[in-house]
Amino acid sequence: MGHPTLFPFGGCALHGAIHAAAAIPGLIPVVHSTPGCALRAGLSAGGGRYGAPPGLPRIASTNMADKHVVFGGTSRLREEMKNALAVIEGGALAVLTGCPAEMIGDDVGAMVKELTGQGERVVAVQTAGFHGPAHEGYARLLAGLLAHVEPVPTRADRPLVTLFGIAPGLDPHWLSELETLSRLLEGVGLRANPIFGPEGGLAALDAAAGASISLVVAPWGVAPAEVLAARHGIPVLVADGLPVGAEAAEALVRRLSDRLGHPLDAAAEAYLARERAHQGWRFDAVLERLAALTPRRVVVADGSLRAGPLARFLRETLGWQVEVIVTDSPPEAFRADLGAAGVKLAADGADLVRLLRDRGADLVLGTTPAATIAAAQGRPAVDLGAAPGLEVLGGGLSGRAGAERIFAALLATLEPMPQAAPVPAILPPLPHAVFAQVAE
Amino acid sequence: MARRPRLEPRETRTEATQAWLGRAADLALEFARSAPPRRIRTFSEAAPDDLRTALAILSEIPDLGLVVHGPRGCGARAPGAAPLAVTDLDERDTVLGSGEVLAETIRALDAAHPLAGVAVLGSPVVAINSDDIRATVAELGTALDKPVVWVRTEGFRSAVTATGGDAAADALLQLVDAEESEREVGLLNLLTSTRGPELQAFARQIEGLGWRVNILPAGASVADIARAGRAEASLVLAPDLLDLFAEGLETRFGVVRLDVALPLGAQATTAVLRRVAALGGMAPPLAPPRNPSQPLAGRRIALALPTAWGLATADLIGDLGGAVVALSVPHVERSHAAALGGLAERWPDLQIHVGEGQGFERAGLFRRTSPDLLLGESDAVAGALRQGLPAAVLDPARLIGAGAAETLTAAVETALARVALARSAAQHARPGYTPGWLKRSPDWHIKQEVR
Repeated sequence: MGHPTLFPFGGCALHGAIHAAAAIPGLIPVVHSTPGCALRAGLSAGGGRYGAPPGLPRIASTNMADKHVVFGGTSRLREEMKNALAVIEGGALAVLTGCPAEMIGDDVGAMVKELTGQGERVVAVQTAGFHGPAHEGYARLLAGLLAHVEPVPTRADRPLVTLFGIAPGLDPHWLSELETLSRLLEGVGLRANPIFGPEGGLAALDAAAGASISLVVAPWGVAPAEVLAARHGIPVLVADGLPVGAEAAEALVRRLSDRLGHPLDAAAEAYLARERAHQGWRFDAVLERLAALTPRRVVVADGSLRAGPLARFLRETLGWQVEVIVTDSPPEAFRADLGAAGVKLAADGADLVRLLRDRGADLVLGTTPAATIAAAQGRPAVDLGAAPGLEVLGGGLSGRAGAERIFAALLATLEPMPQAAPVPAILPPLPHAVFAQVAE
Repeated sequence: MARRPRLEPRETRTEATQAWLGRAADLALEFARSAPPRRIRTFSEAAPDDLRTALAILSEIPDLGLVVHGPRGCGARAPGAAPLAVTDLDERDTVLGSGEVLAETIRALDAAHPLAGVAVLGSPVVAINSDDIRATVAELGTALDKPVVWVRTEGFRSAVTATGGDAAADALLQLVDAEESEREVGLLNLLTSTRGPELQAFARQIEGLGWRVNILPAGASVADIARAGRAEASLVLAPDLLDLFAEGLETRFGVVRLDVALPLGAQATTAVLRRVAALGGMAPPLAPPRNPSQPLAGRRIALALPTAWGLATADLIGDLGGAVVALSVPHVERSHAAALGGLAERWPDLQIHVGEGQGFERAGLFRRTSPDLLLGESDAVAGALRQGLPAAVLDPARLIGAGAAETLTAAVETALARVALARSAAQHARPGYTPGWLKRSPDWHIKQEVR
């Protein structure tokens, strides 16, 4: 049953599925729903009253009218799919159903079958908003696509690891996290299959069916990975979240190595040692300043990909006591374990306001909405997230580079501002050309 | 309880069309003969709906709580000042209905945040399962002792998103104080959906003529809206969205609607101010001498703006010596027909595109018309840049007042200086539209609806 959601975070399952589909090169999202449904996926980034909000990709949409709602919209879907294949460059269609199409019971499967019967690559996925939060849409889309892939021959020189759990357009710095994990795997002699981003695509989807293992770094990746396990026997390794810091990255790599039966060679060991050394060097360089930070009640408020691992990093590296609030409404199956571990769930902004207040946090780290709420409550807050619509930019938290970013963000936010150095009272005039460039 | 009549979609109320790609002269001719037939697309990209428009307008009222009755995604909006809640309906609710959770959500939002009123927006889901929003709204209004109004958005009954402006206007009129009270002499409503320094400067000019200005709904409080019915007159700066609000204030509350052109540029602004001054019995400001300079001479410009602003801006570009070769607007309705006809006379080959979010159509339009640059909304600007066409964002709010010509000229200069940006954007653009299909007849996919 529905429930009051005040100051809501994120969007619905359809929105998560749109972001995920748009991040797979070659895949064209076709939304079968009423107008507005698809564009709302990008509205948190702005966009005013007219046109498409910034950052959304090309999305074909049936924009169902009242007559389609009353009499059915399958014929409209048929013509939209046919024309989308012709007009938009890509190799496959992902038909994403919105609430109205699922409510009226349109036989989307029959329409898709017409096209697949002609050799076109088309998959329909039920992604109505009422199925859950945006991350649910990520999971549904991937599971739906992977239910139709068949193994293709892949390079067998190194074990292929498909990455699951990092949701494009939803998780902050998602592309950077995929790239960092890919580099980590390459560094120890494995090969990453990220599916999303410039290194992903339809071929990566197909390759997942023949991969050596599926690596899951967030609860939202479990369902898609299980599809591959059930259909193709691909083993699944569920990690303890994103590997934040060099130590967590190393621990993850060793687990993977054990599971794959692929011992790390000398080059891999040297790579891991370098990662530790690079992180340690920077840590030592700022130790005096980190040691001066003495928060007593630290709260991490973030999605299930990052919240637990970030808290663990702060505990194990800085020795802080950290409580965790998860903000992306994780799948029901994981909630009991999270509750047993003392993790709280915030379904909306009102929950988060209450939880932060009740905990009396004197330092909050996490997503941009969490940091904004904390700051509004007068609590020191370290924003490790991304502004809406800018999730694709910025470095992530995984690996040793993530540790460095956390140190930098903590010090930039929490250190007392040094007394401003005096500036020369009389400055030489700048050439006009400089001003012109700045204005542009 | 008697049913309120359904909100008329723009297609019916104003003979609006939202699908056209061709000569402006031909569309003007259709309006001159009768009204354009209903048209549909057989290929379309994601388009907005009335809920998005209404939510955007009402989100500018900081003490009005907004409750979107639907699944959680229906509450997605661009950042706004009004507190927001959503009933977060699940699959079960789509079958069994969800009046209880609506009441619970209104109460919860009211308890969580100090509110002067609450507006409940309908979503496609509740329009399909016929949830009775009206009864809940009536009950809660009494229980909370504050206005609780229903915004009659449905998502699919109209393809013209400006219908959301009508839904918002209908809700705003319910917030206007209906008690018989004395008219506030010297109070003028300035109806706008945007804010900015140019608007404030324009308001100050009106105040200089002896008026007190009630700017609404953007940035207004519920109390400001309540007193709108006591004003002497209303001036509309967002005619595409707030026309029905002005009309309702006039017919229900006797607030005179000033029928003037948008204050865009020195001449038009003075004309508006003279009308306002005349209404208040003040000496009219002198008309500025016409500036003969033509800084845009030789420039072939494409525009993508809200319709009323797009038409007025095109006219100003012509006055500044430029030529508009392509105009992209969200919809065209009866009230736009005269201005459209004027532009068609000025530039017989002017191409007009009517539609929102249709990147494919705009790509074809820019390809065929080969303008020097594009000015307009951010999605059109990004699309143009990906085609290698210099472009710059032009916010209609910046065009209010006498400085519009300078703003426009500066925007043209900004766009033309962006050759490098356009080159980079074209170079890095992800795969787009199949070139062969861009070369086809531009409106191959826009058909007359068979009813």
